[in-house]
Amino acid sequence: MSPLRPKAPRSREKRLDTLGAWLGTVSVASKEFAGDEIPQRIRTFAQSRNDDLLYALRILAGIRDSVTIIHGPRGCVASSLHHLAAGGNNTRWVVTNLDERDTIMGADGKLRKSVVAMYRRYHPSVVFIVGNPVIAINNDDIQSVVEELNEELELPIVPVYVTGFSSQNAVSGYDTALHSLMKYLAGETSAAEKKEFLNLLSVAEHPQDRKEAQHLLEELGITLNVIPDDSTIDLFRLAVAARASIPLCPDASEYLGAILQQKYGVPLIDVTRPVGFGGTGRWLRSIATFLGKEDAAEELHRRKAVETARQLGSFSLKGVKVYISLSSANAFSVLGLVEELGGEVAGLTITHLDRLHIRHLEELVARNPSLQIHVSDGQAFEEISILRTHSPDLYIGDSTHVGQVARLGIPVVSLESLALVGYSGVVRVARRIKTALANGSYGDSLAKVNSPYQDAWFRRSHNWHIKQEVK
Amino acid sequence: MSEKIGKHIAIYGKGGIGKSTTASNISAALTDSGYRVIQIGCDPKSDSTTILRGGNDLPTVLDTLREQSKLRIEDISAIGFGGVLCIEAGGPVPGVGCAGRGINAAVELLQELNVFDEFKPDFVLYDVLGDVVCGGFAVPIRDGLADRAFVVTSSDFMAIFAANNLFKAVNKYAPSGGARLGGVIANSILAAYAPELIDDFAEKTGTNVIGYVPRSLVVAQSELYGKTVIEAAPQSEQAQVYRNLAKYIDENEDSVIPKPLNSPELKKWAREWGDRIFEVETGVVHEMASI
Repeated sequence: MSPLRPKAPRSREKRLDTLGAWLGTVSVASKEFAGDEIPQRIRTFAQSRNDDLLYALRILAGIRDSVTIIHGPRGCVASSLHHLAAGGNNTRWVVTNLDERDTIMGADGKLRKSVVAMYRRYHPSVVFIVGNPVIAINNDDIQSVVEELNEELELPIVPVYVTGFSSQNAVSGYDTALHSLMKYLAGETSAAEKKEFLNLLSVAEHPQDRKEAQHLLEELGITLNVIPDDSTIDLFRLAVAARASIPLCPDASEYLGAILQQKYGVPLIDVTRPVGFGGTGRWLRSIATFLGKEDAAEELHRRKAVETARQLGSFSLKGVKVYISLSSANAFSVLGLVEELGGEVAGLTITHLDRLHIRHLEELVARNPSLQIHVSDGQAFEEISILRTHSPDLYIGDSTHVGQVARLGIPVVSLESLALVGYSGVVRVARRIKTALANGSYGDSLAKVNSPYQDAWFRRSHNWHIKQEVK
Repeated sequence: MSEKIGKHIAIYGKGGIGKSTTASNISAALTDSGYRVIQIGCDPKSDSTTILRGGNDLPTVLDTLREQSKLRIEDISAIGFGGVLCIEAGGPVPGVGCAGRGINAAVELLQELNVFDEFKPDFVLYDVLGDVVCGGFAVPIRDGLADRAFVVTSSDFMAIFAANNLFKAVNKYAPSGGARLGGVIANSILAAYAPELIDDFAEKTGTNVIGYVPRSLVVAQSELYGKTVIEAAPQSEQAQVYRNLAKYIDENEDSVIPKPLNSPELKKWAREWGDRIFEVETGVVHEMASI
């Protein structure tokens, strides 16, 4: 069966054995993922959790000249505020505001009215209709609205069937949105003729990271088609004619790259994130090898080596123990960056762990098998407990937990709005770390405030609430 | 996109009218003619394929919902009479949860398991529970699953009323890729007026009856033995009735978008038939009345 035939792709747990909760060393993780069957883990307590709806909206938020209609009760559109803050806000947000009667009698009439009204008001080039738990349960009919109005208004209408509960890992939401985008926009057949550009797969990336990657590739004379961040529907249609796809993050864009390869014959250059000096070089080299531009890439890398070294000056993280807490792909690549700067990584907290990370695990097993990996998406209580044990000199994370971590008196760096891709990313991160380490008095003041967690929790093992799922 | 494998048929009708019996016997007749058949019970009672499996237990699709590791088709199916692949969607116990969501999830799981690509059926029958009370139970006739739906009815008004309602559902989804109506199956035919009543209803709603299944002791007896008539009494007249139904479904691709009667029309139609039946009892003879 064609991979795009179902309404939505399978969850990451089913496709990639994704774990959302885990604690152990790199060597244990590596052994576990060497097996065929990886038992799922559950949390008997979770402090907070993201869902796939939020992640799907993040992707749709970046599509220009679009309208996003959330077909559900009004609360579901509150997440648009989150996206406004994250800076990815090209789309217009609408919610059909289902009331009690709608949930019982069916609300496809309301949906139809909303699509028509938005079409008349904004004349967008595409309308997205986003599912949510309510209509996943009551099976409200979206498909007939999609088909009828698609014909009537001659407008692409793309339904995104997120449910909010089908997957334990929010990252599945990226896959669901990308599945619908490809299914409804990319057309049925692969392009007869491949053109001379590459797809740059940019999924929920910082705009500066995207620009950095684009500049580097343009220096190698490569033309790019960037999807889905800040793109239009025409670029999706164009994507099937690319010579190859290159991901900015092989994790987030995995599904998109796989579909382009499997269904449309666009090869995927599978290489890890261009973060850190070595990471960026490796990324460029992989692309260059594919295109036969190895010499140009080497020359660029050499030039940047000199430039970066000059900008870093004598900055070194020698003797500094660093704890990293980021999305999985970022965490593994920032680990490389920290080590390049001379630092020692005390441990990692990542958002999820699955088969896509086996290459990282294998590489780490060879040189640091006892490195601890903590898998959690939003469990500050576990992180704080782990940090109290490790007592790192520096914590690198994103905005969600740095506040709490700072209260432990540990110097913190948030990479949330920092562009860390490429050679210039190395310098930016180094500068931010330098500032954080220069003056610890803020952290010292914060540390005088009592922890919100009780000692009884700290006496428990860090993975007290992570259990194997028993059926 | 790959072609859909096999002809997909959905069977609807008032609860208790004989859908599962009819569907199971049609499946048995089709397999007896050499076809590969899958019957999928879409009812939380999980009793659709019982008489194809000699009454043995079968784990439902939803029983295995939380199974993350490699689920195989064998885990949620059983080979019944004549090689029919029997699957039960399953669902929550009465009074709990949401069975409609369950049907949706079960169908998705079957697609994930690539059941149709692996088994390569000639026919897939979806036997859907009687009271289609929410969107979930319409999943087999929407989302491009079934090509045709057949509605089983008797001559009782309640069954006709239910059939008329089901036509509304078909009417709603057919224009946007849902299943169209293949026809009406007249079941439990006993009274002399029954076939004509059902014929008349079919004509008024833009469809036709594809077969008449008499009320029969053979059916009841076979069921008590946990078997279809095709298995228990293959030479019987009743078995031939089911074989004819199967033949119709096999050889005929006709389908329509039905025109359900509105409430006043249905009431009027029912009253008129009430009068005609009364006249039969009291011996009134009309021109053109072929009772």
